[in-house]
Amino acid sequence: MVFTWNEFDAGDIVLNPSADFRVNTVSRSIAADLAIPEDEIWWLIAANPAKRDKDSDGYYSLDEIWDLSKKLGLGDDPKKFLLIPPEYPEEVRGVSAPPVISLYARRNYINAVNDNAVKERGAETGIAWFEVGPAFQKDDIVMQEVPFNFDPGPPIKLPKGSTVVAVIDNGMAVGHELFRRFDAGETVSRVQFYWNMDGVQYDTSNLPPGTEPSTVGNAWTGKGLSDHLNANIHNGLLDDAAFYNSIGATDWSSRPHTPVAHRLSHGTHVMGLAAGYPANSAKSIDEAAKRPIIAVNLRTSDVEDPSGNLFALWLEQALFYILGRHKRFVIDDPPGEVPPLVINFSFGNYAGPHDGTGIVETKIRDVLLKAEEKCFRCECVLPAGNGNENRCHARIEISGDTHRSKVLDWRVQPSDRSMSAVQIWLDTENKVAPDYATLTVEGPGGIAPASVPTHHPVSWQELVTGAGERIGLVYFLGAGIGPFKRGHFGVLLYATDSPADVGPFAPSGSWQLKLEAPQASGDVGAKAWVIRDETLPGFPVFGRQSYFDDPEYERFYQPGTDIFHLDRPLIGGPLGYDPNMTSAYVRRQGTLSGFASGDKPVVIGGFRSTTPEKDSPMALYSASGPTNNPNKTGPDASARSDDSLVLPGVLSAGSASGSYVAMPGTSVSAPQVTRWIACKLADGHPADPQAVHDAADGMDPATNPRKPPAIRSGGGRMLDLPILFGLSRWPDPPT
Amino acid sequence: MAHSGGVGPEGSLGSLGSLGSLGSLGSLGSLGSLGSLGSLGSLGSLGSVGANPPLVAQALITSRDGIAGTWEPVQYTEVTANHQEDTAYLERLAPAVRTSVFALEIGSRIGFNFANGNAKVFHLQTDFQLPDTKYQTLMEMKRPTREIFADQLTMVANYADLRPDRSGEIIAQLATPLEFLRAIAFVDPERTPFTVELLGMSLWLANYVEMRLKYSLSCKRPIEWSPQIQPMIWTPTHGSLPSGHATEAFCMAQVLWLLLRESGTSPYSGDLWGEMMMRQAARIAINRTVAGVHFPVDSVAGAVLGLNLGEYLVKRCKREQPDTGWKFNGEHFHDGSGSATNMDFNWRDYYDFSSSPPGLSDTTGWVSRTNFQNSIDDAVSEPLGWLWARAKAEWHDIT
Repeated sequence: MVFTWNEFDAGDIVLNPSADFRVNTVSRSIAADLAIPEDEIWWLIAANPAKRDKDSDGYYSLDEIWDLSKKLGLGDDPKKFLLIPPEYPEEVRGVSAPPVISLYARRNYINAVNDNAVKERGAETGIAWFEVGPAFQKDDIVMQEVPFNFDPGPPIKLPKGSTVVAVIDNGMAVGHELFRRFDAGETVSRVQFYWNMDGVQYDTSNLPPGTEPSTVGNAWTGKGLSDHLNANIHNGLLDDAAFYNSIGATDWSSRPHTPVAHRLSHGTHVMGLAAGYPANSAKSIDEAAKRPIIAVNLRTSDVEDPSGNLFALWLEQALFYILGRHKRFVIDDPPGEVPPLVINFSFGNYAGPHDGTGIVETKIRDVLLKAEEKCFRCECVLPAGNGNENRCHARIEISGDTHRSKVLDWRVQPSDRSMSAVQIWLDTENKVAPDYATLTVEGPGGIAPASVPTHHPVSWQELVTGAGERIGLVYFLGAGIGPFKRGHFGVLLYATDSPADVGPFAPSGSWQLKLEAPQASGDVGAKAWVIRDETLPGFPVFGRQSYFDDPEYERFYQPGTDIFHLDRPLIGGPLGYDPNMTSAYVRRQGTLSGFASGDKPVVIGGFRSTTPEKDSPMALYSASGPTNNPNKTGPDASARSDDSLVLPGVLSAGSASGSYVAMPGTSVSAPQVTRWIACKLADGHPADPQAVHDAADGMDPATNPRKPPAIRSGGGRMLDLPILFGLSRWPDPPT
Repeated sequence: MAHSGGVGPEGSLGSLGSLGSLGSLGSLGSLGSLGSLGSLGSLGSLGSVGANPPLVAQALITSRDGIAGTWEPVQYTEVTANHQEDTAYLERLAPAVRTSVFALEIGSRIGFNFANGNAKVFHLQTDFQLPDTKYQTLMEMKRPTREIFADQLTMVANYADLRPDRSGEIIAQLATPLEFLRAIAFVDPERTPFTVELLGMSLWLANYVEMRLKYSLSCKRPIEWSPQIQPMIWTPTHGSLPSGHATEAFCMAQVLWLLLRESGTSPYSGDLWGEMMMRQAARIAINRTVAGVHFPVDSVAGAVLGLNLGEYLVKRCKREQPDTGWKFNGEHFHDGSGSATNMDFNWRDYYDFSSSPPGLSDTTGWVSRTNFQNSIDDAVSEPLGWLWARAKAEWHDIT
């Protein structure tokens, strides 16, 4: 197949090329999955509302965004293309919107908002920037214009010393015994609120008892969950399958993938570490009553495809739900006190600006600032990410008089059903000249090279077939466009394969990305990240991770390599750190999750236990700083994520009641710190990133010769955290 | 193509042979040889258990020549005749021989008929004094409509999601459910040989009946509905409904559960034992849907049939007169809302722990109970009673 490049005129380019690619190209395969035409897809978008005027802090309200949509030439009935989530109550809609909002919209609205990046159009649309996430059929969402109206019931009284623990994840077996307790002989769910985006949708005009309305899936109260638990406990044991069926969490007639039916489910395991307490353990009964849980289960279909950060785009709605439900708790003694809140979000990505300006980082900052305003203590915990060894990050430095270019060899895999993409972020925060640098992309199989300059605000070229079907896009987005401080290049490719007839596909193979800068530009630095698009463990085959192939990159130890002093591999064993003075452009340093680069959240890496415990190395996968944010140069601390070399992972709840399974990754180290933070907050102690950093430093003092560097482990390894459920794996547990 | 041993898709009875691998049973006469029951014609082979090594036979010929001497006739008064039809004799029989006795005791009272879409399994009441007989409907089964199967097919496709998680179980469950039931109750060929025999007969009965029903109802397998199901194991050649695995697992689970309760031994009186056995049977049944060889409704029919046969066998073993029949009407397997049913298998819909003894319930619109119109004083089976008593004794505490 012959592919050609189309270069766009300034007037034709869009505000967000990635969004354009998603709703106008990736939409081909999404429409096939949903079995509807592309124009009928509804998309969740996360948006930064536009400021009403440049010098004030006021943003356009949701009502104004609704009204403005009538003037976009799409007709005067916004219901046909826009939905303000009914979760937003009336009092939120008429006032200045928060920095990040969510909307459901059809493609015509998205294209209208995205149209023409050259002109400042905030006053026309009310939207300054947006990203496009999950896709829906109309029937998947409650198309209700007016806000949900329901009785929240009386406040939930908590004993003194309580902390509300919120977990946003996927595959959450909320019926597991670790999330129950006994109260006067009755089984009670400790999950007080559960928004299951995967859940069977109920008629909002006739909701089952114990549920509350939600746009997507279903939402249960603790009372509702308790009732269903008790109805499905037979002979003293929960019938798990019947329970999850009764709360609409499983439905084999319509769901092709159901994580809670599997032996191991990510969210169950994570929530067990964050807030699980054995229901029948006298030791934990008191503490369990003080750790009510708010659980948000993200849609499995959105977690399955990490290439679009779909799960991340849910974060605004998830946090809105959590804050709203958190309001219903009150400490009984002293009366009226608001309990602290800790939120665990064990998800990571690879790409992003890594300077705290991404939409996820902005939302987390917004929530934590809001908590400060409302005078309750709130922390958010994120994993460092597992991309240390994945060759998805490159460091580009162009300096001197000669060799003013660098070529990255980007390997795009065959049989990859998800989009592949690379982002190359310039180090400079300044707006740069069009000839500051140029990215030239050359594809496999004789695809001619195409170049995109640093033309402000946006420049792009699209790769199309002879029939005009787009399979790729290269763009530059200038500094200050959208929320981003830095300019960046993006290369986006459509899937390389699919079992459905949704071609043409992008060619797999070696894509050469050449960044060059003229001498006049001086020293030019940039960092590149491949977006995450692997098939996640336990999921059906979907994405295949693309990566940079750098001949200078040393994955494995060979004698003679000047390795980092804490690396101690066997010959042929994998290196955990970049060798000293490496000439490779692919780096382990800088792989920290893109979500984790804001100032506010607590970020946790993972280490692998060994004997003695103080010699434990960082887990090979645990991602590394630095970032582009000088206030977040790496994780704040690390916690145990592997019990040993031969027993990877740590034990926590399996999906079925009574079962415990091992899972590795920084996803499991983060919630152990979440649990620790919950205790600190409950006792009135600080537990922000600095406090976590300092506590880790106390548990892992600098005198320890094997203390990992700060870019991997922040303040250090939290060696004193207890082993929660895995004592059986330890013949001689560390003390 | 290999269809041998315990891995063939149709060898569920034969796979009882896996017990042979436990060791000593082999020398006792090998329950493993029950495998040959799979082909009824080879029942005779039960008698040829590892006996008569040629070298010994040759030696015995010459040895007799050497020592027997002149023939001495025997007077009939010197030898007492055995009692006839005496269960004491069962003790002296090899287990495999007893199997034939029990098989006739059970099988000779089972009848079958198919008419107007109804497959009927009968219990034959017999009164040897009059003599008189009467067929009572033990199980009536009607297959679901094509619409129902088509709806069910989507569930089969979706259940494939669990194949990586369950593959180990699915492969192991190609053999009999015994390995999974003995993980719950302490069944062991050396510790509880008569319980093993009783469970063997439960399996035999389930297989005997289910195969005739499958043949009669002739329901297509998922693989015959869609090229995208692609089961992870071979699809057996016999029909889809009722599920043989469900029938056998529930039948054995029910017999074992009732046996344990009957022993009166603490802690077997607790319902948790039954809960575990039924969960295990359900897991085995559902795994066949995961594998892609059964619809959920096959498991429904199989569970009802298996529980029914289990209760029936226990009654016969306990010298009680069977008095209950059950009907599964597949055409009614829907929620009444119209076309799509999308109803999954949930064993609790068909099981009542509060009844005495715990067993089948008729709370759904597609499973119903009928009572026998007893007009004959049904003869009991002494051999089955003997087996039950011996098996029951294995569960008494040693005090």
